[in-house]
This record gives sequence, structure tokens and C-alpha cells, in this order.
Amino acid sequence: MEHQRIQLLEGVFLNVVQTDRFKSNYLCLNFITPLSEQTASEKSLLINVMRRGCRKYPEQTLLCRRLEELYASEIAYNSYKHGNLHLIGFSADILDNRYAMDGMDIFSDTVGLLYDTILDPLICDGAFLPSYVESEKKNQIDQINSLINHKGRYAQKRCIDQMCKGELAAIDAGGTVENTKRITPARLFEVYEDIIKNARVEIFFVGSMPLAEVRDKLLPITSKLSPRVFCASDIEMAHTAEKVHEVVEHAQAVQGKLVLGFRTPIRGGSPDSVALRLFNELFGAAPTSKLFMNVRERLHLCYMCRSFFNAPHGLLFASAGIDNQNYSLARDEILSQLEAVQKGDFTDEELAFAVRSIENSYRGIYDNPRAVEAWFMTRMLEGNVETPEQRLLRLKVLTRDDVIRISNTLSLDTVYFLHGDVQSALAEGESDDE
Amino acid sequence: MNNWTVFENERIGEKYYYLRHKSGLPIYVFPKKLASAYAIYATRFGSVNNTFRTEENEEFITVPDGVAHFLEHKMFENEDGIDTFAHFSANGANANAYTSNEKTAYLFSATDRFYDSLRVLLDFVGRPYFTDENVKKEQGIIAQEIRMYDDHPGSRLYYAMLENLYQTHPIRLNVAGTVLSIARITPDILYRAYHTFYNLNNMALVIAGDVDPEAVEAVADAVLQKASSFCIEQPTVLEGNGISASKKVLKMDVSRPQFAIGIKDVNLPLDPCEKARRALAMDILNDLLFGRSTEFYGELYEKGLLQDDFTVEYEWYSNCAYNAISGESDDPDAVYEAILAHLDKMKRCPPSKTDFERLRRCNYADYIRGFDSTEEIANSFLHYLFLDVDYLKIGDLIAELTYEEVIELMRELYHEDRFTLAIVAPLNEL
Repeated sequence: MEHQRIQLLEGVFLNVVQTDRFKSNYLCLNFITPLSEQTASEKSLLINVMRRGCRKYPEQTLLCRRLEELYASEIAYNSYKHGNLHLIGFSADILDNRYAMDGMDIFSDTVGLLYDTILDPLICDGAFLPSYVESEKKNQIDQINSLINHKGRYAQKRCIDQMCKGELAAIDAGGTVENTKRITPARLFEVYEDIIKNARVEIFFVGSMPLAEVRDKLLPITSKLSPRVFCASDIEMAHTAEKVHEVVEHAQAVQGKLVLGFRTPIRGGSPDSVALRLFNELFGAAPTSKLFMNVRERLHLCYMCRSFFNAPHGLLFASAGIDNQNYSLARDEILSQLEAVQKGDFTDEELAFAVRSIENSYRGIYDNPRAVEAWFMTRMLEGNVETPEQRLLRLKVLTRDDVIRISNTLSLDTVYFLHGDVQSALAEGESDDE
Repeated sequence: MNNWTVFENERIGEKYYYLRHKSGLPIYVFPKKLASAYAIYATRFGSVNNTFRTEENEEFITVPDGVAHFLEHKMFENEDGIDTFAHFSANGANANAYTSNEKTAYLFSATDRFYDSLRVLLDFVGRPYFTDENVKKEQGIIAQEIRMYDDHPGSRLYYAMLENLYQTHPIRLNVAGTVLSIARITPDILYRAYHTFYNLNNMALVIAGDVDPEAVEAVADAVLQKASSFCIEQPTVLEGNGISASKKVLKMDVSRPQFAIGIKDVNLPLDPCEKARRALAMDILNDLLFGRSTEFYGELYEKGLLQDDFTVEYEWYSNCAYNAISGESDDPDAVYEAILAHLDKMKRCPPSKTDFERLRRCNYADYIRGFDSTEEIANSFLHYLFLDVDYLKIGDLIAELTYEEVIELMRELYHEDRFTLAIVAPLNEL
């Protein structure tokens, strides 16, 4: 499958991956903006207010009814960050016209609805509807506060907060409670106008139509956009940890959550990022990884122990859910497994398994339109557009020395532990009847 | 392809091949030209199958809670000390397994060397290896898995709702068991459960992908031995129409209350096809009554009583079913009252036929979209297969549903004394 990309007008691009594999077509409009602590709350709120209605369908129920008429062509509203960028995405999974029972042009009608929701919002006196803004502010604050409900994610967030104070990596695309409280309906409209006028736009289509046809069918939207020049500042960050920080916090939970945060100078776009991905697979991502085989299978300290690479910021995290008393044991074992890789203490077989595992996931990308989009979007944001096949070629020439070299770029920055303060014998669920 | 039978649905342009392999195993191959092929190998053994007897043993045996799940974990261990994951990894396949109420499933997806991985799959599930030592080790790992779910509000809420709805039905048991129940598991218990339920006649292999049925058959020929006849007896579940409790509140470290309202369905038909039809009608009914396009949802959202996480899901098994309405709210009791009032109103003046037609179409479109992923095809196919329903017929069933039967279902299901409310509330709330 080929990825084609054309500039429709300055700062507005159309990406097409044509395929007849699917019964539906995937369309996504991404607005790329700079990331900042203050605007993160605003942009996150903005899409939730836009979700409530537009001029033509001023209520959520009317908007949903229209989507149902279009064979449930769900529109997803996404707000997420990538390095120093904040992305706002509107995506739709559109049933292919050949399955329409009544000859409807589902695609064009859905494009029409996307136009209504994105470019024809519900505005009164130069501001979004105050009642929608206020209720979505409350929802957003609830959403931010709900992080504590998921102890693993909470521990991960607390670790990155402590580790990256003042850095872009610590900014949450979902916003903060304080910043959310301050947003006014008029300010939100300013943010909206700024995005529509100035954000770089990357439109993605994965489906059965050729580029020219997609371009024509998107005219109702693209003809309303104006040329724009977009630039974002580079990411600045300490590449090496100066000393190890140890942080212990407490939660009303049974299980303790351990998170180790490492730094590396390697970023998603660096030539070495493929080697880092390979290291990560071997160390803590694959089911035969060092962490799985040792922390879980050999020492049975946990059910889950894994690592993941935060590519835009050059951060790597290893985490495990454990009994409180095994804190030092688990921490030391994770570190000794890293040391093992750094010293080259892994077999050629382990390395080959890691390569094949990544190979399998790269080849599977074309099976999922969202994965296709995510792949090419990420590559574009990293500034190095290559296909999964091209990257696979780079992966296959890597040697054990590359993995050893890469593993030695990691330095431990923070050891975070969320201590579970609830005694194990839960009142419910653990009473034994027999 | 002489041994294979083809089943086809021309309307949606999909078909599958079926073979009752000479070993006794039913095999289903769903051709799909995608890069990843997906195989799932499952047995009808889940957390509910905890009491049984076979020809060899006269007495019924009741195994400790969590045995099916424990067994699933332990199947990955081999006598030669090599973890099964390593064999899949050698082929670049991505393997996993899961246990639910009525089944245990082993699966992998692969973009290369599919038949090598298929051989690994059929082989390892056929070779149990349990020792005192490896059982003890797994008790430590699964205890951490249970602890993880103990801290998970959604999981606690779900089981609280089931414990409220059912008095004796084993559907109310935690799939993983408890730390105490798994401590009683021994190699003997595991072997006994294994030899009872892991009989090829009680299992199925479902494959979706760009795969040749005859090559699949060749792998099965090479690996599988003919199974003995499958003959077990499981006691009839005696579960009355009543519920066990109408309300339960758990305290946990959560930011705001979460709720799950359960409605027990006591009229699940016996015929598998009728059961499926009822479930599909329930899906549409749920959209009609509580969906995003309803005034009910719009009003409660507007009032701040509901948020985007509000979900309504009908769950059905071979001999029980319930409807679950769940979400987060500052005032779950008010949501509960609003739902009762809404149902009362809807029974008097039901949703329109236009709404029904529109939502039926949406459900049909979702069914069609499901054929875009080998993972989804294989899992959905297996889900219906173990309920004795052909997944390819689901679209036709949706098309056959009538407005009248859906409205009748609403009147019949929502019986006041079959409701329960489970809440997970923040620690500091009264």
C-alpha cells in the first residue's frame, strides 16, 4: 500500500492510503498546534464543547441522530500531544457506500457533517454557548480528578510529574483543574479561531477511493480553509539524569505500584530510535522479555512488569504492581536486568525473538486504518517519513552491539513507589465459605 | 477440499469453511485477505463450570474458585522448562490467552509462519505439565493479578452487581477466584479439570485470515490424536427469578461515585437462535431507550447527572442473562430514580418506529464493520459458536427483527423486583 501526500494549500495537506481491504473508510482531520500548559486545558475543553453541538445540530442528541442516519459513522474527537505539539483530531469511520441500503452517499454526507461540526460551530456573541462551556468544565475537572481511580496510570503520571517538573513531558493534554476553572466562553472561541486559522492541517484518508476523488469530495471542508504558516519550537530537555530521585507516596489501595523512569538522548526521529525500540522489546515489552521472564516468571513478584518508550521525550519507564514488602527486591531486579542487557548478557535467540515480534507488529499495521494513520502521522511529526517496510529494513541490520550501545545511553532518573495502604484482607471477595 | 463444508452469506460477501476433524475437533476457517491471521483455540470451560462428574468418578466434584483461569496460566509451562511464549516468539507470533465465565481461549496473531505457530498452539494446549513447585509459583503471580483487580473500581463494581443479581448461579463468582481459593489448588485438581474439559469434542479452533484450510488440516493431522468421547455431567443451576440484594455500596479510593444497575432477565429462551435474536433485540432496545440520541440521555447529561462514560450492555450466556446500565455520577440514586421514571413513561408511550428503523440500521452497520479485522471475526465467531449460533446469520437476524417484538421485550424485561443498584463510592462520602 502506498502513502500519498499532497499539499492542498499552504499548511494544509491531504494524505491518502488507498486500499480495498475494508468495508469502511477512515477519515481524520488533524489540527496541529503548539503545546503549552495553559492552552492544553483550553484545547481539551474545546473539543468537548464542540461535541455538544453545532449551528445546524445545536444539541448533542440531534448530532447523534444525524450520525445514526449515516449508519453510525461515529465521529471521534481526540486531543493528544506529541513532544512539543498538541494535536486536535476529528475522525470518522464511514461505512463504504456499497453497503448503503438506500443508495445514500454515506461518505459525502459524513463529510458534510464534519464540516458542520468543525467549521460551523454554535456561537453566540463571539463566544461558545456559556451553558455548554460551564458543564463541560465540570466534566473536564471530573475527568482530571478520576486519574486516582486507576492506580497504575496514576503512579505513572506521578512519576513523570516528579521527574520532568517544568518540562513539556509533564504537561497533560487533558489539562489541569486550575487552568480549566479559568476558561471563559469568549476565550474558548479565541482558541478555536486560532486553531482553525493557524494550525497545520493533516487530513488522512484510508479506504477505497483514489486521491483525486477524495480531494474532490473533501472540497466542502478544504475550500473553507485559508493558507497558514505553522512553526513550533524545538524540544529542550536534559538528556542525562544527574542523580537518582527516590519518591514514595501513598494510596488507599491493596497493591503497591512501582515505576522506574530513565532518560536517553535518543528521540523518536533519531536514527537510533529503531535500536531503542528493539532494546525495549528485549528488555520489557515482549512476552519473553527480560522483565517478564525474571521479575514475573522467575521471582513471581508481579502479574505485570513491562517497559515502554516515550519516544518524543526520550524517556523510558519500567513498571510493576507488587506487594509493598517486595519494593526493594523488584526495583533491584529491574535494574539488574537492565545491567544484564548493558553488559551483553542476552542470547542471540532472545534478540531474534525481539526482532520478529516487532516485525510482526509492523506488518500488521496495514490491517487497521487507525494504525496506518498513527504510523504516518508519527513519522511526519518526527520529520522522517518512512514506511513500515523501510523501517523493517533498518531493524533487520541491527546487531547485538547496537542494542548494547543503546542500552548504555539510559540513565536512571527517578524511582517512584505508590505504597498501597490498605491491608490485604479485603472485607469482600476474600471471605472463604468452606 | 473434500472434507470441508462451505457456509456463505452472499449479502455481506463473507464465508467460512468447516471441518469436523477426525480427532473430534471442530475447525472453522474464515478466509480474509489481511496481513495478520488470527487463530483461537478454546474449550467450553470457564469459571461457572466448577462442579462436575465424569464416567470414572461417581461423585460430583466442586473445584476451588478460579481453577479454569489458573489452568490457563499453567498451560504455558512445559516439561522442558521452555515457556510456550518462547515458541511463539521464535515464529514472530503474538500469543495470549484468556478465561471468562464459560470459556478458556488460547490465541495468537501472525503475519508470517502461520502454520508453525498453529502447530505450537495445538501442541501446547495438548500437553499439561503441573508440579507442586510450578503451582506454588503461579499462586504468587495470580495473587498479584487478583490484587490488581481488587484495586480496580470497575471490576469490583461489576462483581458487586452480579452478587446482587444472582443468589446461587456461579456467574456471580470472580473468574480469577480469590487469594484464598487459589491457595487450595493442587496439581491433582488441575489434572482432573484438564482431562475433563480439554477434550477435543468440547473444544473448537477458529481461524480468520489469508489461510489455506487444507494446510490447517495437515497441521491438525500431525498434532492431534483422536479424543475419547466427551461425557460429563454438570448439575442444573437452580437460580430463582428473585435477586439476592437490591442495593450494595462499596467504599474505595475513587474520585466520585460509580454505579452499575443490573436487571435480571429471567425469560431467556432455550433455543440458541431465539436467544441470539433476543440479545440483538436488546441491543436495539438499549439504543432506543438510553442511547446518545435519546432525550433521556440528553436531559440527564444536561443536568450533569451523566457523562460520556454511560454505557448500557446486555450480557447473555448459555443459561443466564442480564442488562447492565453503568457509569459515573455524583448522584447514582437520582440516576436510578430517573431510569425507573423513564421506563415507566416509555412503557406508556414507546419510542417511535422511525427511531427503531434508524437504530436497527446502525446495529447492522456495526455488524458489517466487524468483518474488517481478523481478531474481531475470530472472537465474535467463537463467542456465538459456543452459544450454538452461526455468526454469519447475525445480520439476517438483525434484518428480521420487528418493532413490535422490541417494544414487547421492553414491557417484559423491566420488572421492578429484578433491579439492583451497585455503587462504588469515595471513601470520604457517607
